[in-house]
Order: sequence, then structure tokens, then C-alpha cells
Amino acid sequence: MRRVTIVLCTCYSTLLGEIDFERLRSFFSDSPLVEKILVSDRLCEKNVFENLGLDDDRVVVAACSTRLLEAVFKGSGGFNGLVEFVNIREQCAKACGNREEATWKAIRLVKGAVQKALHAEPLSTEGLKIVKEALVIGGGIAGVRCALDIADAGYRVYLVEKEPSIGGVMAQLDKTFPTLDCSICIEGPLLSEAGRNRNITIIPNAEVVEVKGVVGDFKVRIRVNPTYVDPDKCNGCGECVNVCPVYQPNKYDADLKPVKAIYCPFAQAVPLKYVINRDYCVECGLCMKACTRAAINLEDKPKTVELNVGAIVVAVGSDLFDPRLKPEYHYGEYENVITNMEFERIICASGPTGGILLKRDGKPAKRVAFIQCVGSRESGAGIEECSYYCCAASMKEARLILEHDREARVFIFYNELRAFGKGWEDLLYRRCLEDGVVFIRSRPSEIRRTGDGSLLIVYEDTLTGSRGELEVDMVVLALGFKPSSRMIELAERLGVTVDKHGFIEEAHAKMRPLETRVRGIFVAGTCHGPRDIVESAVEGSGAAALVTSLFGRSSLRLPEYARVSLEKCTGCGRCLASCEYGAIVREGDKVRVLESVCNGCGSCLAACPQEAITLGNWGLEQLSPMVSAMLED
Amino acid sequence: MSWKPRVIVFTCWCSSSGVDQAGFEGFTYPPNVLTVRVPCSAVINPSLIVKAFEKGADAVLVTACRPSELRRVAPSRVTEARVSLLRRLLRTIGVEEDRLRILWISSNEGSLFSREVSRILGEVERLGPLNIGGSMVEQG
Repeated sequence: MRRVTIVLCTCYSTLLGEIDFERLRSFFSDSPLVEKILVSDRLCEKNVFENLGLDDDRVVVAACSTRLLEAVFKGSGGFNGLVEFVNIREQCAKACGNREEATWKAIRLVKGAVQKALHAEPLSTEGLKIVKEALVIGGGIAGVRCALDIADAGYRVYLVEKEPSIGGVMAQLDKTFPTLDCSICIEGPLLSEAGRNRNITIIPNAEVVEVKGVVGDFKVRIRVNPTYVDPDKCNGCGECVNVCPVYQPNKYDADLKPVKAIYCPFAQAVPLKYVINRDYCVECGLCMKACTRAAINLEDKPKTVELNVGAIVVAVGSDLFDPRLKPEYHYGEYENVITNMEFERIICASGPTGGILLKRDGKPAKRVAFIQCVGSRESGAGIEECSYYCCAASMKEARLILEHDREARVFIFYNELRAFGKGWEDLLYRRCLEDGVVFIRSRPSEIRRTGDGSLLIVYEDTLTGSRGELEVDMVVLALGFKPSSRMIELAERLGVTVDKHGFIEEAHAKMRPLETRVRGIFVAGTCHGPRDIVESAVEGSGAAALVTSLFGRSSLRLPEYARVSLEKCTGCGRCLASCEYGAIVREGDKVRVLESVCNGCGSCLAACPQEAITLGNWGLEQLSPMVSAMLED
Repeated sequence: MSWKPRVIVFTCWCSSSGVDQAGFEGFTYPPNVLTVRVPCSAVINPSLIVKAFEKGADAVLVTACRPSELRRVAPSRVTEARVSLLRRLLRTIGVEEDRLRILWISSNEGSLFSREVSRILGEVERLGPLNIGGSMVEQG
């Protein structure tokens, strides 16, 4: 027969005056349900409970706040589920008016706990396996920073990148704000460090196609797209490029500067391997003849890589708004209306025009206007959020124009100018004002083309209420972030949720900002909302810290999660609707709980008409006798 | 001793801290308010509440996190729906709705808890002892 040991704690004797411990003890001493009663005066001190030698017993601990005490117990190792806590301090001694009442209440609370302990089932204390290797998805600044930090802590990292090279958006920028230092010059060394690091395996041209498993033990399937050049043989000599007869637009240069069909996206690419774009390749075979290492294989097929990792960091970044969705700005139609990414390439010394701001007809652009919030802070085609980076980016770009050409005139059409970051006010806003940049508070209604081919911006100045027209040579659209449909598909594969805009949703926006709802899957950079370089790098390091702290654990246990008895489950599906976390899925004609997602609230237990779901010792089987015992006279 | 209502309070993890806070800050309430701590209010099966009434509780309180504090995911919304449905069902068998309450208590709202409990106890005292004459479940 099951019996319970009761341990009473007097809290350094402070409860002796408030509860009659003798009466409490004598009430239970004759009970056939009670094995023995022990009294301690300092149960919270180190090893006191352990030294009582109650390892496998059913125990009721009557002491202080469960919140305090349970943490001490859980910290001390195994928690087998057979220990029941009663708070006779805050919820009894301190809450009652006198000793008589408090003793009466303590007896009732302990009576209930005895019943719960008697009906409890032992819980597994077995730890989960932790595979101490990580997967970072996305090789932008957030992903690279993250991979380097995890690798430096001594763990293997797989860095999966969809493009032929890591680097992301930062590799495409000319200068970074607010200090105007060259973007690739500060990112390049990080990229090559990642390429050299023995703990980092870069998997370029690849995407995640399937994720299974739980925190500590994910099984990930990755598809590596064919590049038609064997990366193990290619030494980056570039002989193939010299002979290739076909040109294609280069995505890296915002499609402005052509490259050959066999190409390397940019000089600092990591890995420095050539790839063929088969959409343009004419299969002439000249590159095959030129390649001394026989690296080129036009029969290349997609490959699948299977990984087993303990943690995943999602750092896939975000797309930018498609300006064609705002027809009033005629992007794609008027050739001197360009995006800010195109501007970055044009103003870059290694870009298509060698760093000279030229119009498409080859003449210099002397009057340039920036339009802010294209696709952000609006309820139309874009998103309602502020895109965070673009005020600073446009002010930086205005300064770049003036650094190249003191005679140029620059206009920024803004809504609210937000210069909140470190150095933004001083190095961007004030300097722009000093340099004569004209700020116009307006969201222009239209861009028109005049007879001589220049552009006419039609706007209302919202500070003065007056309408105006401004003639310029070039318009740069500051685009907001817009998550791609690709990313939303990836989120589905990972089992993480996205918000209404399609950005990945955090486990808690403030308290767990780098975690997703799936334990062991972390997030960094613009894939969970608009950010700049600094914040992306900070988050990369932050996510790396979470990964290494997970890997540093000696054992890992999931919080108690709901379990479904397949014998009892009839597949009615009421639990599905009851779960606020979306942790229950259909599987065949039954349901399954996603243990990494379940938060252990127990809503499904109460919803299940078959009592097919259990959650630790929180079922009717335990709580019902507990409540009955507390109420009986 | 005159009759005093016997109350079962189901407290979720977070609001249990609020109840702790009441004692910690010296707000007292009658001893026959008996707390049962559960991980989340959503685990409370309506039949458990019925059981409490059946076994002699004059009132049942559920303390939970405000749904607005839980951001998008809010199991206490589920609890609220269940409790409000159960209140209506209880009325049909002659148990006054006010004997079952849900209270939003945050982990630092000890004074709110003790104030609300005292107020509710006053109301239940006016209703008098619950007399449902045997088992509700078995009769059904």
C-alpha cells in the first residue's frame, strides 16, 4: 500500500508561534496513509532535504512558498514527481488571523497534498540527448556573427546559405551608417574568418527542406542546389570566366553590372568558388576546356545533406518591399527612379559606374531626391511598421552624394525623421543639415516625367500645408522590409510562427526576444522584424550565447508536456481547438503533441472527453482526491 | 462558531505568487479559503469544479493571468470561456452563478487578491450554505 512521508519545516522556528506543529504532527501520526513525519527547521538549506534519505518515497513537504522551495528542489537534481509541496507560510501562517485558524488550515492543506502524493505517478527524470552541433540558417551579418561565436566556444556549426556566397545584404552596401566606413571592408574579414574556421562548415547554394525532432536532437534535411562546378576542385582561378561568351545580370550588383554565366558574385565571396547560372549558360563547353582542374560538370544534380544538430538559429533576413506595388512612383518604368539597394551599388567604387552617380543615359545626376517609407508605415501594399534602418540609410546616402560631388543638391522626403541610434543625430542628421540637405516633410503623391526626361515630384509639404513640385534628375526609393513568402514556408517547416506581416514571432517579445515558440530554435536579424546591422550582429551574438548555454548543460529536460494515450484517443480533435500554442497536430486518426512546442498549460486535459491526455500529475486522478480531502470534515 | 463559507481557490502558477504576496505583505483572509496550485488555469477540468461543490465547497474561485498579459497566446481565455459556460450550467441546477468566480490576479497583486476574496466571501455568506443534496454528477 502506498504511504506518504510528511516533512514539516518550521522556517528557522519562525512558524512555531503561528502554527501548532505538535497538533499538526499528532493529527497525521495515526493516519494509515502516513509513513512517518519529519520536522526540519531549515529545509531550504543546501543538502538538508537530500540528507533525509527520501529519494524514492512519496513525500509531502509543508514549508514556505512553493515558488521558492520547488526551485531549490529542482536545482538539486532529479525531480521525480512524487514530492508534493504545501505552502504553510505565505498561504497559511501569514494569511490567517491567529494560530488556531492557521493550524486548522495547515491540516487541510496537508490533507489535500497527502492525497495528491498518494495518487501521483513517478515522472521520468531521464535527460534528453544534446547533440552539441548547431545549424545557422542564413549567412548574412547576423548568421555569420552567430556562427563565429558558437564556433569560438568550441562547437561545430553548419552555416547554410541560399546564395553562392555568405555575406548577405551587408556585402552589397557601399558604406555603413553613421560612420561611413566601407561595408565590405568591415564584413569581409568576418566572412573569411568564417570560411577559415575549422568549426564552421559553410553550405552555400542550399536550403532547409525538412526539420524533425526536438531541442537537443533535430534531424535536418538540406537540399544543395547544383552549381555545375565542383567546389572541392575549383580553386577560384577565374580562367573559366575569361572564356565564357555569355553575360547575365548580377544579382549582387542589383542587376546593374553584367557578369559572365559562370561567375563568382563578388571579389570577397566566401567560399571563393565559381558557379554557373544554367538559365544563361549555352553549354558551349569553353569553360570545361579552360579549367585545368576539371571542376566543371554540367550534369551536376541537386544533393541532399542530412544533419543532426542540437540547436538551430534562423537568421535568413528579410526581403525589401517591391516598389512596383506603388505605381505612382513608376519604378521600372522611369529609369532614373531607383531603389536604395541600386543606389548602394551605383555609389560604390567597385560598382557598375565605378562610384560615379550617373543616370541611365550616362550623364551625372546633380539633383537627387530620396523618398522615405516606401512600403513601410502604411496600410496599403507594404507594412504598418517603421522599417527602422531607412532614415539613417538615406541620410548616409545623402552624405555620400555630397562627398562625391559638393555641387549636388539632395532632398529627403520624410514623414518623421528618426535618428535614434548611437551617432545618428550627430553624424547623420546634423551633418546633413550642415551640408545643405533639404528635408521636406511629405509622402509624395506622384512622380512625373518632364519633356526633357527629368523627374517631377508632386507633393504636399505637411508642415506648411502647401503643395509643391520639385524637379530632380534621380529619385531613390527607401524601401521598407517585407518578409518573403520563402521565409514563411521555412517558418512552417521549422514549426515556428510568424506575425501578421510574416516576420518570425518570438517566444516573448520582451523576455525571450531571441527564442521562437519551438525550444531549441532561435532567431536573429531581420527575419523577425526590421533591424540595422548593429542590432543584427548583437542578436547573432545573443543567439550564439543561448546556443552555447544550451550545449554547456550537463543534462536537458523538457518542461512537463502533455502526453496522449493512443489507446484512449478517439481523434475527436477537441484538444486541437483548446491549445493556444498550436502544439497539438493530427496524426492519422489520432492526435500528437509537439513536445518542443507544448508549454504544459494542460488546457487539452480539460478539453479531452476521453481523459486520454496526461500532464505530469495534474490530472483529475490526482486533483480530484486532493480537493475532496481538503473539504472533508 | 457560526457558519462560514468554505472556498476552494484554484490558483495558476503565476497567480499563486500573487496569493503568496498577500500573506507576505500581511493581508489576511479567512482560513477556510483553501488554495490548490495548478500549472495553468487551463488545466482545471470543469468536472473538478463540480466535484468541489459536491464535496462541500460553498464557492469556487479560479485565479488566473489576465489574458492581455499573455500576449497573443492566452490559455486563460480558454479558462474564462469554460468558467462562464459552467456558471450558466450550474444555475440550471440551482447553484447560484456567483458561487463560481474567475479572478485575474498577477503575481504581485496580493492586496487585490485578499480584497476580492473578502468581498466575494461576504456575498457568498449572504447566499448561505450551498445545499445541493447529494451528488450532482451521479444524478445526471
